[in-house]
Amino acid sequence: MSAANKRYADALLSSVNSAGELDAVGSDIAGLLELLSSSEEFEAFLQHPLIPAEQQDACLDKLFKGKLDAATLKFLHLLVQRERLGDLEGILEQALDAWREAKGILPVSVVSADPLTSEQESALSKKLSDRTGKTIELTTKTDADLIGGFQLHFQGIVEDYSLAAKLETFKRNVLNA
Amino acid sequence: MSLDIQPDEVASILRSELESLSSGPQTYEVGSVLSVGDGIARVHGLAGVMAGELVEFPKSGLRGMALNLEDSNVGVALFGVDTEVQEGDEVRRTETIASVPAGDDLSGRVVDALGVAIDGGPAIKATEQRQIELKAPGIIERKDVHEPMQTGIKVIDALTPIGRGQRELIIGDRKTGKTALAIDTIINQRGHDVHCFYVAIGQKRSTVVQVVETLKKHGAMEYTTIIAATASDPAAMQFLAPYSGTAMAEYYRDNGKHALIIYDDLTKQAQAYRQLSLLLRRPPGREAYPGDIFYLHSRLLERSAKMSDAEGAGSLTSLPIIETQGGDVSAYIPTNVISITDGQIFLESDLFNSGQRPAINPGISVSRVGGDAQIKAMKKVAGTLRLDLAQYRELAAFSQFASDLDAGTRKQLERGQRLMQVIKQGVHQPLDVVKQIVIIYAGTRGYLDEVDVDKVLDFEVALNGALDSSYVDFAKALEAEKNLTEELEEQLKGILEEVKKSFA
Repeated sequence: MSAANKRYADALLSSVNSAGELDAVGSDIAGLLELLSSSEEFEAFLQHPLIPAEQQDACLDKLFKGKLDAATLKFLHLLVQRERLGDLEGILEQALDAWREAKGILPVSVVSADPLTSEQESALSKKLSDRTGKTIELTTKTDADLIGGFQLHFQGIVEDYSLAAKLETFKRNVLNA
Repeated sequence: MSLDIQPDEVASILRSELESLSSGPQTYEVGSVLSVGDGIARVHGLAGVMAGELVEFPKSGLRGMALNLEDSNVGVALFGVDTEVQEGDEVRRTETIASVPAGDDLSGRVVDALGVAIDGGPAIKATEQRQIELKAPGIIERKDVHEPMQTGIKVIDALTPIGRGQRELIIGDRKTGKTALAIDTIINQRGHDVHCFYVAIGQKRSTVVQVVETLKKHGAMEYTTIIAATASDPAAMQFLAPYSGTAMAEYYRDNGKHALIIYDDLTKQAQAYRQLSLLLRRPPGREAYPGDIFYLHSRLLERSAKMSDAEGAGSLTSLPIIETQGGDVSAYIPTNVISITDGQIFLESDLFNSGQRPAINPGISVSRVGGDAQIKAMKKVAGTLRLDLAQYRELAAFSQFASDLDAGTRKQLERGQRLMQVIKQGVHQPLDVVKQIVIIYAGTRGYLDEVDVDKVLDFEVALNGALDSSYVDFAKALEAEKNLTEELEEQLKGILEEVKKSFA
């Protein structure tokens, strides 16, 4: 949430020169976030205050050399130098948002009353990408309280096509009539 | 209660609503609660939210107002108990600035700061919804204050007259009769087609009930609306209440009618705003009030105005109340409001305790525009009153050291003592302007000099009785003429002699 995170995230993306590198950095970001959520040891290593900078650099090289894109690794070393390694998760989250923006990807979360079939999902993705002109990254959830229909969540906006919402407006309108 | 509901009507409403049911999605912006406490929620998201916009917490049904828009979060003041909101809860934009219902249906009701009825009566049917924060009328739309707004209190109507559209501050320590003065003014508006609004901010609920009962007893509740944000209501409601009350009153001002609003009291509103500001981490200034505390009151009071004829000639008069501590009017909030208003009425505990009630100090109370708003007859008789009282105060202080007084001084002292009796008045007994003129005339022209000081009040009762019975014609003539013509003055002299004779 801090302003510095956003600044570092922007720095990472602006250090990328070619389209191929952008893809590589994107998958690095996703991979690192994945690693952070699965490995407690890695998280502990990042947060530990007593590891000297040289050792952090050496560890990062040992862990990631050859596996991450050169730009990403260089960025990690920069974080070591600026003593920001502990903020890595926040920075990567911001970077992922910025990367999606750069690639024209729109993450959309669909909440539906019943699980969607794969045809429905692809039809929805197509419709949304036609409307927004962006590639849609769909995540799905189910919530029986919606009764029927679905909700779309994207960029802090909710489009509510659910039966529950319609009944609620109906109730409100009748009460106010 | 008989239900006047037609089955056909219900069916048709339901059908039409059902038909509109299938149309499109509902789109709204959401955020999530980061932290909550002390009546403030910090919210992530809500990227498009406007300053002052209402937001909803669908899970608890609470509402709040977005006050602080920062780059990483939005500070929301809650209109309810913050324990109902949890971290991670969804917050929805409503895309509306806070607004309240306005219209005749509000008369006789008690509502909260959002215009929701809290007197157990039916829901308010609004003629229109008005935004709480509206800009004050511009220069062209206004006219100078020129009609009287009779408070029914002799000393105010004579010495610090209030005109329709004026802002007159009532200031004094606790227990000096500030609220009583305001209530009397409301009671006196009976039959004058003035809609009254009483905004109770940070008061005890028992006090609000008392006010309602008093107004009902005097038949004043039917044209009065009470907006209550009591001490147990959230600070956000106490901060908003004066604005909502003003929005309701402006409905009359803008429709060519007259309204009177009482803010009881603005000290508490300033304190509620200080609480909100400190919790929102706005920088504190003098007495820990935020930097915009002056603007808080000036933009509120600037909305009281006399509208020009082209705008319908309506008016909104306001009587803000400020409570001082130990008579200290040089504290921050009192000086602010004194400088904003068009005059002030000072109430003093010393006067109150010595039995001089209303405990108004005529020496330092002023009305900066009201002079034009007195009827001619009152202007004529009240002219010498201020001077006489001032001379009396000076002499009274001086005479404590002197043993022998010459006849002239003694006479002036005695006149002064009687005048001090004349400006006494019982609580909830407003007087109409004719009776005020007659008794002040009697006092200033020496008709009371032979009456014992402690008999002056009895004399006044007798005089009022006579005006109601034997001299109704004179009262009517004076009321119609509005000026003490030579002919009427001769009649008045006759009446006073007659009453004096029968009184002795």
